[in-house]
Amino acid sequence: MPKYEALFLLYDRAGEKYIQPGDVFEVTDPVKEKILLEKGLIKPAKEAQKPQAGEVIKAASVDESGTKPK
Amino acid sequence: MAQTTGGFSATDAKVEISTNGTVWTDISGWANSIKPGPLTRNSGARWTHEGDGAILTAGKLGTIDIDVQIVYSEGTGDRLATLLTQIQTVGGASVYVRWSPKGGSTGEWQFTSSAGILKKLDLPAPDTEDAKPCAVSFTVEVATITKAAIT
Repeated sequence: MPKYEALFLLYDRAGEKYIQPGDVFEVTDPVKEKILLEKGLIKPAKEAQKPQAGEVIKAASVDESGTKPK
Repeated sequence: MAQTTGGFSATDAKVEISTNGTVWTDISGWANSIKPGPLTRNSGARWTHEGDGAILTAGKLGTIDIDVQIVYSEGTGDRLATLLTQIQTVGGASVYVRWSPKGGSTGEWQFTSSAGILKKLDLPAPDTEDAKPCAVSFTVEVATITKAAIT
């Protein structure tokens, strides 16, 4: 199911609830999906970046030499 | 400056009322007009002995009166009954109003009031010289209105 990010305050009439700007939600109806995209009310949500297998994740507080920067 | 191509007449709007903000009754087939009052903010000014202009400060948002006129009908779908109940409830009972100028389809904008107080309800007023369908009107005073796009 495609996920989208709300760019404006949206109102889900079926669920009678608000969707805040920045919230990620699924659009199940392709017709609604097309309209909302065309009107610039939503944009595709960015998938969370997952580390590749074997990739070393460095802690932000440790520099290349492995020591904490002063 | 380019002229907008997005203008439209709001003759096919969608108008709904609710007594709890969750369950809505579509009154588009009855509603003849909806006239929300302006958004206002209180402001205050004081003048000092020195200087000529005022010191101007902003206050709180003002309340908004929403005037709605509906066609009066009897029997099934009588929209006056709910309103009569709400205005006659001791202590007052909530009325919410929401409307979509373009009709309420996906991608169109909808304005929704907060819980309002039904403060005026005009009853049917027969008039031999008026050939238009009999209408009644009501006024709901609300604190805020939220604008959102319909998904």
